[in-house]
Amino acid sequence: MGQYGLITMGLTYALAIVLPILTFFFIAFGILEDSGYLPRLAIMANRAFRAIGLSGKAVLPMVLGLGCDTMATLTTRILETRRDRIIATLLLALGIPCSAQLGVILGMLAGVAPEAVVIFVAVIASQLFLVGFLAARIIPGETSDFVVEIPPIRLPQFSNVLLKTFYRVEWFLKEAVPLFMIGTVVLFVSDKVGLLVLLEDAARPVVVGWLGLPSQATASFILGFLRRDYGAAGFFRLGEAGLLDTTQILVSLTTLTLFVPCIANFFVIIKERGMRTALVMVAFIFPFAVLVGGLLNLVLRSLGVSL
Amino acid sequence: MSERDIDELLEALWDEEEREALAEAASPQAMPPLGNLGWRRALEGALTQGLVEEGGQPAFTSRGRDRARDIVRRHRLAERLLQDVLDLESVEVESTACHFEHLLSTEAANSVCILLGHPATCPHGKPIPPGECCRAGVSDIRPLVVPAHQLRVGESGRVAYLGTRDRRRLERLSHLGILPGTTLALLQRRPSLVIQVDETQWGLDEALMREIYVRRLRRRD
Repeated sequence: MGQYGLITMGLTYALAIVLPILTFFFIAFGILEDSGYLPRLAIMANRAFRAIGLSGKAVLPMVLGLGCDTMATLTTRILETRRDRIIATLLLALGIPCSAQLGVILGMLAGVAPEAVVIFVAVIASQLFLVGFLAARIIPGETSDFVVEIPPIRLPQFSNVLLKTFYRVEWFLKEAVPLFMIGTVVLFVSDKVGLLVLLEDAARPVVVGWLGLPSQATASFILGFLRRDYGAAGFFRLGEAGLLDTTQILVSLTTLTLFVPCIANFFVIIKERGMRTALVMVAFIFPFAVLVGGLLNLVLRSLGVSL
Repeated sequence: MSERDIDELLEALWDEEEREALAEAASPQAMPPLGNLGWRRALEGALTQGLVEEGGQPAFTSRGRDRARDIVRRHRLAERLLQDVLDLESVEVESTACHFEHLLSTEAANSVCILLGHPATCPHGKPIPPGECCRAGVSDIRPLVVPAHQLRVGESGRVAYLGTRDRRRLERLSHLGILPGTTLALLQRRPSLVIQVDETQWGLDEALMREIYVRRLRRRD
């Protein structure tokens, strides 16, 4: 019951908000997949990905990540070497916004100047390249040879696409929804126990001082870990209420995108890559996101940029 | 005793050294059938010419080593030529190469080397000592056998040999159907290399393409 109830938040969130978006994403992805487009995408992306130290095949999980990072992390299994999988998982968790998040991000960007959009994209993209590049240097292991078979381009069979979508939605319901539920329970308990309030108080100085955001934003960040776009929605509401200037919007969106993965994604990372790797990733991503957000804030404010 | 016999002796000694380096057992078959008498005469001749030093096991002097390297290079290049270009059976390759090596001058050997794209190993997998042309990376004679990434778009080649010894890569390539004898055509170079093998098209890395040595065929129309 209540604001963080299992039904009010957990189920409604998973079914009413995420599921429709995700279903359409799966349909679109199924069409791309069956038409034979994706290997060609991998071929085009290979050079760019080589610079980061990944193979072009990694483009597949990345694209999936725009739908749901949790599922995309599972898809990293198609990459052959452990090293490739780790780098892909890291980049997914770091900078690829999932579809639910994307909606809010685009909604908020719609209200600001085009230069702000450019800055946002540039910052995220550059961070992805930077972290990928460094990770490729640091993480030991070999990278896989890039070999993809290119099927002929063909018209997808609609029945096939529907079947695939069905299986994927079924997967989502079976595997991801329970994780969302668990997340809700954690949130619920933390709220009751007063943990949330404690976290908010602890985080507030960073949010207000370093990131330059109003103090209500703190709650959204905390929420952002447990519920990615519930947190994002919080920012949206702040923006609507006119409580954020453009710089703040940029900073909050950037930090949010780079922020730690949602709890479902986190569980999947533990499952796929192991607890230790998952913890190391989060330990890196969290301060990194805050750092970049704060730096962006610093740079924009000191340059006196107003958009 | 002839110069040829001395050459054979030097070659056998080189082979011996290689085997020892690889910690392989010494095989009596390594010595070509000169007969003990011919052998001893060749050894004397080599000593006289200052090519080997006396010892329990004869060892090369620096002059001897240079000459041995030259001969081994010619022998193994000849083997490569006979197998890859002239398509002889391996039994014929061996017997012919034995004679061939004495006919090739050093320059002729270099030309063969350039023609074959500076191969690194003989058909038995033993290393071919590099020559001047390899070091300079010379390719003014249009090489006949090239690493696949040097094909031009639209060209096809028949796979002569695979340069890699990495087991994983070998398995990879054989899964793609890329084995000596198959034909592949280069369809595209940018943004990635795309080849066609039989009815299937593959996108590949340059790293993998470098390991595939092909003999150029007529340009695909």
